[in-house]
Amino acid sequence: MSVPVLLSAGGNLGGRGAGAGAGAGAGSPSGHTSPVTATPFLSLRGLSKRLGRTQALAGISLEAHADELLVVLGPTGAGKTTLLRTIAGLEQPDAGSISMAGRDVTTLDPAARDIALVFQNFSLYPRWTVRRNLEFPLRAPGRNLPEPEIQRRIGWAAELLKIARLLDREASRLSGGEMQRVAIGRAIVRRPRLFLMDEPLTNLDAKLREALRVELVELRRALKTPMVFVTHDQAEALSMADRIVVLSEGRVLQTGTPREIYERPVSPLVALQLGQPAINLLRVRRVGGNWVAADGTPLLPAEPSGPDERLLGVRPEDIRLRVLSDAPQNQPAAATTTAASNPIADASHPAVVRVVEYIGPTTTLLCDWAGGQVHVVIPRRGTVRPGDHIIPRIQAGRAILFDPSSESTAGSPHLPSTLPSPGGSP
Amino acid sequence: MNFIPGELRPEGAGPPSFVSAEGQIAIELSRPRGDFERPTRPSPPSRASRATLGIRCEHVHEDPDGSIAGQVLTEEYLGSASNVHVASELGRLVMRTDATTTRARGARVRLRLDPDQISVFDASTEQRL
Repeated sequence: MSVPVLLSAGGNLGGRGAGAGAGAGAGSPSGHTSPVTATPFLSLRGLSKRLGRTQALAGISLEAHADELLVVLGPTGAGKTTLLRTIAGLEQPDAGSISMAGRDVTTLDPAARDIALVFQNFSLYPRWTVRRNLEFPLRAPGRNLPEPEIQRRIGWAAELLKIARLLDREASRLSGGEMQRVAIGRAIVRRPRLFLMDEPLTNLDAKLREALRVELVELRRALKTPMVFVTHDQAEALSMADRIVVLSEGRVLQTGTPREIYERPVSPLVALQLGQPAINLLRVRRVGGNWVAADGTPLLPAEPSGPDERLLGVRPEDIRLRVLSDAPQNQPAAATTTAASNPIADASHPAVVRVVEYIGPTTTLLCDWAGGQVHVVIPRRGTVRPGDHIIPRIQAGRAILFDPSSESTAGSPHLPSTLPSPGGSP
Repeated sequence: MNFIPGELRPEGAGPPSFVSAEGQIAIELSRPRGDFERPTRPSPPSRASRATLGIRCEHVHEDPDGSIAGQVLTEEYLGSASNVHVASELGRLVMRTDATTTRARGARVRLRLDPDQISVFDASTEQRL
């Protein structure tokens, strides 16, 4: 175990943040500080792009503010990379416009947009030293930077990214994490007006990915340069974003802060893209005053009026439980709350625990309940065991009710197989 | 996991304590957990007593009476929980909290380490002590 390394690896960038900010001048508009209230720096209006037979972008409008990290989240094939390439000028849109700092750049040459792109696969020159890789964008024709300025910027970037000791090493001899640091370094030495990142952490191992995502957030904040960061990783999106744009099949499904999108998704499709394990979705109908699952399990009090059928979404951590019987007799789980306070927690419709997974600080239970399978996350190690009967209780105010016939649920390939169907198999 | 450099100090016949590098915190390792044992082989004191305390982020708690002062650097919202990165007097520490509250960047916080959940490693061999 390489014990003490991690603390220092994560520990430096933040401390140096203020100094780094002073070094980032030039192109970045420094007057804007709030990511939410500032005027948009990047503005896309109705962008469409067809690639072969695929409508890669189908009318995308979005804005990124001057000091904002905007994450575009979507599965493979959602159009994320095409979107970045179009912003960069590497693809021409079939329709729509792109403006930066109030100026239309839709037809502008890529080089003239002053944008830096970082790719998933690092894309360094393998036979060149790190230093030469970093110098390359600064020696581009027409840039005419004086030599001392080139060296000053390389020194600045190398210190910021902790790659100073690697400067004379050949790029092919670097580890994956080091390569991605150099690739990011090559993007920042230019002091671009906008960073575009195409899944830059995807090829790194999990531990490094977690460390780098915080570093990248703090680096961007110090540089005060807007960033559009594309990923399919929901944890990256939630943890890094000032705002998230959820993309699917070339369309924007929802835009908002991570908390807005996690807690108030506009559709089951959006809800399913965030959260691990995924949100539970149960078809419910109104019976008496309650929302009742297909097998008759009452789940929640229903509002007095409105539609009679809904798709109920509840995140695994928003279900509390009481252990009923079996195994260690009546030993309460860590998350136990009294079911007596909830008129809906119904002892005649218990759930049966099938799988118990200890995952770091929490425990995930997979239960047979309400005619299907439901994930429940409880804090720490409880005493729940497979085979236990429990009474799940959906926390008040935490359920999300969707229209079951909305286009975003019908025929969606993303609906989990655990979605209970009427009369579903046990 | 968070790692804090320091040393082990056997004090007389009493239980060993972990003391952070600049003496900010001292934790008595006396709890009967079976995990903490004094090194069986008394090696050269200068090297052997250097130790690293390890604690997972879910065992770092915000507590107004906590012994460790710090300031929030970055909060990583994860939906069901948040990772709060704190610049503390012991270096950077990450605390796992529930996601119901948010803390402003730069906010002053006090942290407490759950003494039942710490691990101590030999700083030179990186073996658990």
